[in-house]
Amino acid sequence: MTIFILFSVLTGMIAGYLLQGSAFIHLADSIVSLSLAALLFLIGVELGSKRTYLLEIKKWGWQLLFLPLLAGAGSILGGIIGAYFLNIRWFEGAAIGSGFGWYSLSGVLIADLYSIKLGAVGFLANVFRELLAFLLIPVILNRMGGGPAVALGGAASMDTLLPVIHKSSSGHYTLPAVATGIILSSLVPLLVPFFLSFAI
Amino acid sequence: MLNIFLITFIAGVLAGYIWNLMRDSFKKQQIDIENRIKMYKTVRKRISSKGFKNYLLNILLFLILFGMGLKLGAGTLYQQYAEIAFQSVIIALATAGGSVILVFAGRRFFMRRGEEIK
Repeated sequence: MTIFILFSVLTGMIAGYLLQGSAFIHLADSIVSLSLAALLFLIGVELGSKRTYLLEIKKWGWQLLFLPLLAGAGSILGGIIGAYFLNIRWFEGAAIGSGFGWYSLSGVLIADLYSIKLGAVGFLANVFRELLAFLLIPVILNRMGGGPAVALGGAASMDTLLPVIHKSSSGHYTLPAVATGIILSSLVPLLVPFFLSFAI
Repeated sequence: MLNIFLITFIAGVLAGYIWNLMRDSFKKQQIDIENRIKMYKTVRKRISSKGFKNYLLNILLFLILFGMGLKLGAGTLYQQYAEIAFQSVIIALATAGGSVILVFAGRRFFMRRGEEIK
């Protein structure tokens, strides 16, 4: 799986480099969005047609909440620790960490509410996190289990990273991944401004 | 993220659920059993056979990753932030690492099924 992911990204990068300035590059966003929508639809069909779907929710129960909460707390703590080493203020690291991998929203929010420079750091940090997750989810799933793999994906576990989690875990962690994505995505617009309010 | 992707996902779940209900109603009718089984097998083979589905999933996954790589390679998205890349990498590693470590440490509280995956 990791080789397939690396191959796909690398061929894309080479094509992107060779096609710099071409109109085809502007199609990339549409290609990604359409493929993603089709893929999520297919995964949804698979989950919906499972007779055991509701039983699965019952089986996981309140434990479905634990995973996103721990993943979120870990991300914020990691952001604070990273800020300490980079000599930036703790709440700046916490604000970036509370983006949970949702780079488009967290970057814009931070840039709008605080500073453009930190917004750029927030944007890129969450982009890198997603790229890291693409590469490491299959490895972490095998070595540490599904929970840490879903946590690595953060908010993106329910969309861009869902296919990777779904395939790598043979569907076992699809439901926790969707739940984690929904809960963390809902927290981003609340937590980023909360941490940035410490600047005043 | 709570946008078109979530809607397509929910639409997929509903479609799958309806498909399941239709399959159940086939069973309840109990008429023309041979035809029903034949049709069910044909449709199932076409729509949800593992090979076809995996093939489609792989193509879509490739397109998503290829698209991301395309943007990275063309530098349309990230070039302007090159000077702060170092800070971003450190924070990315710290946030991702923090999540993984905390969940791994607390896995016994919520991961009863963790062993099944391995």
